[in-house]
Amino acid sequence: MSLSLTIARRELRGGIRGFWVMLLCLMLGVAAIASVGLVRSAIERALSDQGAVLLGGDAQYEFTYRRAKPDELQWITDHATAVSEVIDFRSMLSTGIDPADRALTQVKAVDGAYPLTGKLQLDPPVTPQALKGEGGVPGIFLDPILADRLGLKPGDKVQLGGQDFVMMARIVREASGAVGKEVRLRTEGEATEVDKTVIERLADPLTHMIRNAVDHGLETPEKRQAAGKPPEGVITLSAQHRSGRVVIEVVDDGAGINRPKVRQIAIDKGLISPDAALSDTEIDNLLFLPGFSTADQVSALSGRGVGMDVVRSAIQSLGGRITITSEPGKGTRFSISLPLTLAVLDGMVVNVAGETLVVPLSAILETATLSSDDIRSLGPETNVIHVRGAFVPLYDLGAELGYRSPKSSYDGGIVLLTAQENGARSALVVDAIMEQRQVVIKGLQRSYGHIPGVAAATILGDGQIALILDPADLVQNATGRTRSADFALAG
Amino acid sequence: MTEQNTQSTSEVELLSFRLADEEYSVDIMSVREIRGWTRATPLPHAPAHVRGVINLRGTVLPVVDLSVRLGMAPVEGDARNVIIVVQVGSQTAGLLVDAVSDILALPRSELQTPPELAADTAHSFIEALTIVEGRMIRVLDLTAVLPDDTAEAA
Repeated sequence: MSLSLTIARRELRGGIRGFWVMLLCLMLGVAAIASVGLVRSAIERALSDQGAVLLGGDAQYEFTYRRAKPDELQWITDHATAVSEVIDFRSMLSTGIDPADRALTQVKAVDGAYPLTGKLQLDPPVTPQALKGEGGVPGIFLDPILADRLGLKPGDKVQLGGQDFVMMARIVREASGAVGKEVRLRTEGEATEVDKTVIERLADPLTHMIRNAVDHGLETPEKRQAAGKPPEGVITLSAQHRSGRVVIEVVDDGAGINRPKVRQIAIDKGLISPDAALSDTEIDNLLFLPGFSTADQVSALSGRGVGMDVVRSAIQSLGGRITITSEPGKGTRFSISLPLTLAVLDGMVVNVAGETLVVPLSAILETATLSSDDIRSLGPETNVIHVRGAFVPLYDLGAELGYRSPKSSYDGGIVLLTAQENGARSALVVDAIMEQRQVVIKGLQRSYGHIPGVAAATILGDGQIALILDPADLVQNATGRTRSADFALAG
Repeated sequence: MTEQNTQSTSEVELLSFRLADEEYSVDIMSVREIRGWTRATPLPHAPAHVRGVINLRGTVLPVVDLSVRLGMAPVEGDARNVIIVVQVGSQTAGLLVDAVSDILALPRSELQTPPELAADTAHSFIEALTIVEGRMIRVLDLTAVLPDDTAEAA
């Protein structure tokens, strides 16, 4: 076995002769080994879940900020049938013409053995050998997004850390060879809005389900071709709103659930009795039983003791349901249905004295900017505003909530005109209107009893909690102080 | 201390923390987690010791400024402070303290009932006292610090 590696430097100023360079917007993977079973079991535990998905071989070693030492590399080459070394780093890529045309990129430097397994699809369809470059200038492959952004096409020159490269091709796809399967992940409805908290808690179950689909759902290219399907399997991850719920589906076009096998495993594990009469759906649902795994062999991708039962309990904890449908030879579909209305409210997000608050849109009649002519003093500390022939009491939200004292003047202030159930109107002064959005209602803990004017809370996109106001309740408990006795207001 | 382990074990584990240069502690069985300081959203008209609410992985967690609760000056609230998330009965709350110092394991017999001193607000919150390496450590009665009724609030 030959390693075409000579040197590698994180800093490119000294040149990186001996390495070919590809540029990707996103990549991971350092040294990949196509190894034998023996090493595999030992290394499996060390493999990170995510790394394995894009792994170019059976096992991968990662070293941070350094290359493998000679003895480490020796051990790896001794145990592996083939080794490919890859160096990952970040560097600034520029076109060398306009200093503004530059982008921080993730660089993946590969050796001659790349790609060890899996496929690299390029446009134009050159081989990785094209990275040798032309005219003494080394070659480079670029991610299409990056190439478009910098307006580069094959044949163009780029600079990476002072070294010239010639762009040889765009990277159409870098496919994984980790499980000997060809996979394309399609996503639909990525823009579907779900509460951020739900997304956070969905990430792990979804990762597991996609891995599951690659590992258990899809067949090898040979088997697929034998079944008259394209060699490349497709996993579709879709999200959509459906009758007040969010439905997220993970669909593969693989072999479907092997029901006799599932049944046999359940019998072997004592989960069902051998003579149990089960419908297809009941058999499919056996997958959700704790500790169930249908893979003959535990693989690097899934099957590390975390079963679909964990996925299901994660979904259930979000108030969701998960269902499974499968057709032999056609594929498997996992549907997750989550309540959208955990309690969703259309609200207007406003800022008052540096605090972010949400006012239910349903309570707001209109918004207005005050001019000094609108404001009339009522009592020594109170004001009314004159709106369309009617006098409406003015309340300063910041003062009512105890964030600040009443302002000296409300000229130019923004008010939300709200209506109570009995039709009485009131004007609430806010500092700024930020946006209108749907928010998920979160209850405040009961230990603080009833907070006048506050109905609930919500978590905004930045993770901060904002209080949801109940304008009618606020007004009932309000003082109406919009003036300090010291200040005389217009009107 | 929580009821479930009062008589059952002779050892007690305490999480000790600093508050205004004094050392306090709570039974570790009631501690759920320890979090770094994050800005709390203030609750209008809440008692002075209620610092506000924070986002604890999607749930709204009230944060109590323990210093104010014990009758001292408010904790400044910066990156050095920590929030100890505790559970008392069905109630979960965060206690804002200066810093967590240690976990102490000691025999229950070394806990002494504090003497009666009526002039002190903090007194009723202290369940026991103990000496560890010459430092006096106060063991807080969380049921008193975080009353389970709503009468006190609002």
